[in-house]
Order: sequence, then C-alpha cells, then structure tokens
Amino acid sequence: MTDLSEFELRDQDHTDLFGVFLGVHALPGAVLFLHTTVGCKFKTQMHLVDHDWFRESHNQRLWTGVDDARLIAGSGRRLVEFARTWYDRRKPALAVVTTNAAVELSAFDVEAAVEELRRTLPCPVLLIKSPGYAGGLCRGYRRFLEAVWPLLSWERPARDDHVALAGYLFDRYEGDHAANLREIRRLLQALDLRLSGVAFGGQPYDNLRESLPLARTVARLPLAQGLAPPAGRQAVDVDAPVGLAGSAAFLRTVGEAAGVDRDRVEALIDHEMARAVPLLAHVARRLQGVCAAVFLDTAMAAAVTAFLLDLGLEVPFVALTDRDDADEERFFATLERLAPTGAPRPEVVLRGPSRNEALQRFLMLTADRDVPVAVGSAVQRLVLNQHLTFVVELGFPATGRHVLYPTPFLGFNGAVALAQRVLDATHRTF
Amino acid sequence: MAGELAQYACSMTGFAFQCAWLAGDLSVVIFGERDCTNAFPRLTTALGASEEWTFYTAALQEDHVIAGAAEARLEDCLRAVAEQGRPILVLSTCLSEMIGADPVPVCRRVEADTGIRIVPVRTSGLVPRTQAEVMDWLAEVLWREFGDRGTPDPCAVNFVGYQTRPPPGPKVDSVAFRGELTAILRRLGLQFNAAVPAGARFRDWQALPLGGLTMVAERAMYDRLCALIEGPDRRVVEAPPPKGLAGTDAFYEAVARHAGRKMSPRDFPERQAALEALRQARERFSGRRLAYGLGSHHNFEASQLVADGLGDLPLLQEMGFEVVLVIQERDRPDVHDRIRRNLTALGVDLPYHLFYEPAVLAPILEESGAEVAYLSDFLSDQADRVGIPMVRLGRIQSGYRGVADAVALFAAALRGGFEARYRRYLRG
Repeated sequence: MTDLSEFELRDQDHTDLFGVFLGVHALPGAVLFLHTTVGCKFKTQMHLVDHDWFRESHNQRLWTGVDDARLIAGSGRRLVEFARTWYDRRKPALAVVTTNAAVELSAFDVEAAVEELRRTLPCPVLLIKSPGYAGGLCRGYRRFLEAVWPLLSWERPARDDHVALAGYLFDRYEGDHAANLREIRRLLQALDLRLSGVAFGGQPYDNLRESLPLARTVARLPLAQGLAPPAGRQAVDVDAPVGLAGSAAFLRTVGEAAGVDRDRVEALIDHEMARAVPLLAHVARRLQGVCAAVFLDTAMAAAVTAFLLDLGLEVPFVALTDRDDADEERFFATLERLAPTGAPRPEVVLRGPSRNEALQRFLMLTADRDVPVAVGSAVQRLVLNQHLTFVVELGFPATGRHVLYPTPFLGFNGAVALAQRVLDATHRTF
Repeated sequence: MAGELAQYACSMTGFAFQCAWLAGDLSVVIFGERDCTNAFPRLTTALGASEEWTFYTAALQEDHVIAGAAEARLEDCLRAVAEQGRPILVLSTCLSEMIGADPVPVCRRVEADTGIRIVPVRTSGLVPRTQAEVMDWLAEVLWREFGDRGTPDPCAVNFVGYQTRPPPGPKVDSVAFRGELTAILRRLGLQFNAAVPAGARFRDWQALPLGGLTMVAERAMYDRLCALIEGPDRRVVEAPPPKGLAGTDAFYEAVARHAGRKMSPRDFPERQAALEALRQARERFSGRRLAYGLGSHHNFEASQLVADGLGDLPLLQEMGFEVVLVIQERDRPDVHDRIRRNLTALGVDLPYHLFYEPAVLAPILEESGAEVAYLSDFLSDQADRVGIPMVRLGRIQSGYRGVADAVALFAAALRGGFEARYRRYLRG
C-alpha cells in the first residue's frame, strides 16, 4: 500500500501558481491575470493576506472569470477582452497571464489569445502556465524571474562597480526585507560597490528593468542558481548571507567577482566581526548546548543551522520544508561550507516531510530532550508553542511575526538581530 | 437566490473552509492536484493547532491524467487514509471533473473492503456558486451521511446560520452571544442541542437530527437542509438573526413561542443594558452616514451572508446611522436589476454605489459622504486612503450583548483612535 505521508499535507502545498503570484507581488507595476477557475483566486490571496500586513496583494491580481461555459466555448476571447479592459484601467508595465490545469486541458485558444495581447497591448505580456500538480513556491517564483529576466534592458552598458542580486525571495513589504536589502546595500557600499537591482525586492518593474542591468556582477542566491547571465555580465553563486560565516562568505565571493582587493574585503569582514562578535558572545556563552530545531526550505535551513551551530547551540532536528525541492545533499554541502568544523551535525534531517510526519518525529525527539526553540514558520508556531518549543518565525508564512522596526536576518546586522530573536524565544520573553 | 450579493465561490473551497473545523473527526480527501489543498484555511481555524491534519490530497500528477489513472490514484489514497479509521469525505476538483474521473465506484469499493464510511461529493470551481448554496450543500451531505438517527427531543433546540461560534476562551464566554443564548435557553427550560455551521464540530452536525426545534436564520440560505429536517417530530422556524434590540426581542420571542414557553424578552436582565446603549447610540450617531460594504467577502460565514449580507442592518439603523450601501459589482444594467430585485425582496430601500474591484473603493467611499464604514477587513487600505474610520465586517455580535458591544465599537471608531490623531502623517 502507498505510504500515507504521500497524501498528507505539507507545511506548504503551493505549486508554481503561488510562486508566480508571489513574484508579481514583489514586482510593482506588474499585473497578474489569473486565467483559472474561481477557487485559485482565493486560495492564492488567502495565503498572503495574513503574511503581508503592509501591502494588499489583491490590487495586483485579477481573475478573468473562467467558468465551465467559457471553457466549453473557448476562454481565449474572454481573456483578450478582459485583459484589454483592465489594461486601460491599470496601465500596467508588465502583464502576466497564468493558467491552471483545468484551463490547460480545455482552453486550446489561450496561447493564441496571449499572442494577440502581445500584439495589441503596449506592455510585455508573459504566459506562465501553472498547473496545480507541478513545482512549488520557490520554483514558481524562479519561473517568473526567468520570464522577466530577458525583458530587462541588458543593452545598457554594464558597470564594474555595480552588483545585482538575483533570487531574493521577497514575500512582503515589511521591515524584515527592507532591512535585509539595506544591510546588503550597506555592506556592498563599504566595498565601493553599488547594488543596482534585486530580483525581486519590491522595486517597480520599470525601475528594475533599467537599473539592474547596470550590474557587471550578478550574485545568484540559491533560488536563482543556473540563471544565465546575459553577455557582458558574470554570475556568481552565493549562499544566503545568514550569520557571521554566511555573511563573510557572501562578501568574499561577491568582492572577488567584482574585482575588489582581497585585503579590503577581509578588512571589512574584520570590522564587521569586531562589531558583531562581542554582542553575539553574550548569547553564545548562555545558549551553549541549548537545543534548537529548524523547519525551513533547504537553502535557508542550511544557512540558519550553520549559524545556530556557530553560536554553540545544538540542532538535532531539521525538516526541509520545500517539499519536492528539498535536498538533503545540498543541505549538508551548504552546512559544510558555513558551519564550524567539528560542530555536531543534525541527528534527524527530514526531506520534504508532511506536516504530520515532521510534527510526530519532532515530538518523538523531544520526549526525552528539551528543545526550547525552533526556527520555522507560523505552521510550527501554532502547534509547537503548546509543547513549550517557542518558534522564531522566519519562513513563509509568518502570520504572527510582523516587522515594524527594520530588523534584518541577513548580513552581520542580521546575525545580531536573529540571535536576539533566538535568545528571546529561548527565554520566552517577547 | 440567497447570497447573490457576496463573492461567488468554488464549491470545493467552500467545503474545505467549513470542513477545517471538523478536523480530527473526519478525514477529507481532495481528489485533485496538490495545489487545491491550499483552499484549507490551515492557520486560521482549529486546524492550525491540531496535532494531526486530517486532510489529504490524491496529489494527481500529469501522468495520472494522461494515463487515465486518476481513479487508481484515488484508490491508493483512500486505502491509506482509511487506515486512520475515520469517515472520509472525498471532494472532486476542477481537474478531476474536467477529465471525467468518477470517484463513486472507487469510494464504494474501498468502503466495502475497509468498512470505513466514504462519501464522495462532486465539488469543483467549474461552476461558481453562491457561498450560501455551497454551505447548504455541505449541510445536506453531513445530515444525510452522518446525522444521528435517534428520536428528536422537543426541548432540544438547534440553531442554523447564527453567530454561534464558541468563544476562544472562558473569559470571553460571558460576553459572547453563545453564552447569552445558552443562559436564556436554560431559563426557558430548553437545551442547546447543536449550532451549525459557525464553529460547528463534527458532533454538532451529528447531533442536529436530535433537536426537536430548529431555528434557522434564513430559510432560503438553508433550503435543502430545512427540507431534510422538517418532519413530524422536528419543526423548523425561520427567525432572522438577533441583531439589534427589536431583532433580539423577536428572536427570543420566536424561540419561546415555538417551544411552547411563556416568557417575554422584556423580563431578561440582559435587555436593559442594550436599551441604555441604544439610547446613547441615537444621541451620538443619529443622521451620521455609514457605508455598508457588500459583495467583497469570501469566508463562508453564515452571519455575513444572511439577508444577502445585510444581517447587521437592523442594528445599525437602530443605532441611528443613515446607511448607504457600497457593493462590489460591475456597473451594468443587469447587475442593477439584480441588486434592486434582491433589495426589494428584503424590504430594503437604501441608496447604493458600485465599485468594480477593491482597489477603486476609496473614491466611492468619499463620494458616498460616509463618516464611518463597515467593510471587509481587506478593504481597510481603501478606507484609510480617504480617512474614513472603519469597523470590520462581521465584527458586530448578536443578541442583547451585541448591542452594547456594537455601540462601543462604532463610538470608538468615530471618536478616532491613533490613526485619527495622526492622520496627517499617514499615507494618503
């Protein structure tokens, strides 16, 4: 018999549809036409509305009103008429059409309709098919990034001192992402480098299209790795700059690629370490040996686990929550790069477990061990707090944690801020 | 048709929304793609904190569709889920319906083999339905398939379509409508049997047939369920929601009368506070214009769908507000015809303005001359934009306790809190 966990719900059951939805949210000026059946409108919006308090997602998304009658008659005409009407109302800089599996199975005229829109609308029109059986949040976001990438003004001359960041998962307009991007900008500026654009970072499409291509160097976060840089640009792969080691590695990689003198990079790292380490030492002394659990997607799980190990915590349990994209090998490879040598590796690493399975395995582990803190999402917070494991909401969705005061989790400032949150959760003081 | 002025919905989503409260007692299988399980409000219902999520997906892949193997995949799924020992509800989706996958033979086969009750329902988003229609449909399914077949107790009363969600904690119990209702029933010598759908657990649905008297907020909203309930030992009485003093009087009078009890609501001590609150409300609010939003919400909350979303209107009018409607709809002659027809049927003669999507409500609010708005929560950015204080749609409570609460709520909104004091610094 097939294992039950194959049919159980995950922390996130999103497929490409929600990733595309999130990508559009992160790119003002873009409008998404949901050429899907009616449920897709609500099931996408519902997951963002409690996560992002600062910007309503519905203002950039429009459902084209597909139903059975329109599917039978051919929904392409409806899409064309709808998109034209809404173009006049919104004047978007970029139009994105997405379809679900039911529409794909029946609406053979959609591609022709999109072609017609491309000929007649004054803005670029993208078609990103998103059947609900394929992909995931990160993959959908990446597909959107891949579709937008060629539209940027790459003919603009690249500048050696400009750097772009690709694959940044910008899921809300709150103070965490604003602070992250400010922190990365600050660190690059200290090397006389300029962050020309972030794909995506809440920068309007028209602005991003012109500014990002000024970068000679494109730093590809894990989500964007493999994304081909256009001619005249170079790409470097970076881990998420989480913690001291992660932030230092980021600067070394980007600095070297951008031709910054190595000594200068090391001097900056030293300077930042001298500021952050004495603060973090207070935490490290007191949390030495404290157990933490991590429930995050592979890339973030590895970076956060490495930082927790660096602080002296133990991380016996990790659940890689990115479902089909969860990758144990990638997790350990990143950990090797970022975690201190000799630090104990997690005893349990679950690859894309169901929510039930992750919870059961975690509760088994904690039957005879105190794990006072976990780094995860609202999915864990709602249930683990009852078991006296307090959750730092870092992943998606974070419906309890909303960030008013700019608080990064990337870079050296992010390391201090994240350590503060782990400390607060461990002491249950908020 | 009931609920025509609210957002139309996918029936699978509607079942998912309501079944999220049945977690633990019922397994629900989505016969479709994994993405469809995102319809479950997994973080905002009882589901979020439960140790086990009893919702499953057949997780259909492209291969299953192409190879005609969707039913086989469902069978694998059902056999694994049946091991958990709970009854199973199987919800079809757009994809399974589009490919003509029939869940019924599979369900019958697995049910016969395992002894687990399995109920397939042909839901999907291919035919958008009113939320009320979907709610009645779920009620019908749960009654037919899981209702207790015992003898109804004439003193046991059911409540269908009211604001009966249990309060989140004992401290709130004393101010919640459910607490007031239970206390008054006790005084009348009646028992609170079951309340659906707001906050109903599986046992509420199971117990529904055991109530001898069923009060329903709006018969048109629960037409199919009412037809099933009514019988020689079970009576159904339509009584509009207890909103406002007169509405609450009428509601309790109806309960007492139909249960064969003699008691005037004027005897209830809770009523005095409501009376005093209304007196104050009229002093403060008379003639002030309030914009009442319709057509935007999608939450399968009966109390927000009853009377086409105007269930709270009697209380707002008792408080003295001059109400104007703002309705999310397209500005077309057939839409105006439908709105006028529905308002006339409800006996409502109010001016209305249309806005075709959430992002363009702000100027409509301004044009309406409203001083305060009663809108779906996600429209707060629009009210903010034009500096109109807002109370969240659905926040008004029922019963006598609800009167004083609503007066305090609108007084606070109009008095203006933090945002009013610092409005000049807020983004326009």
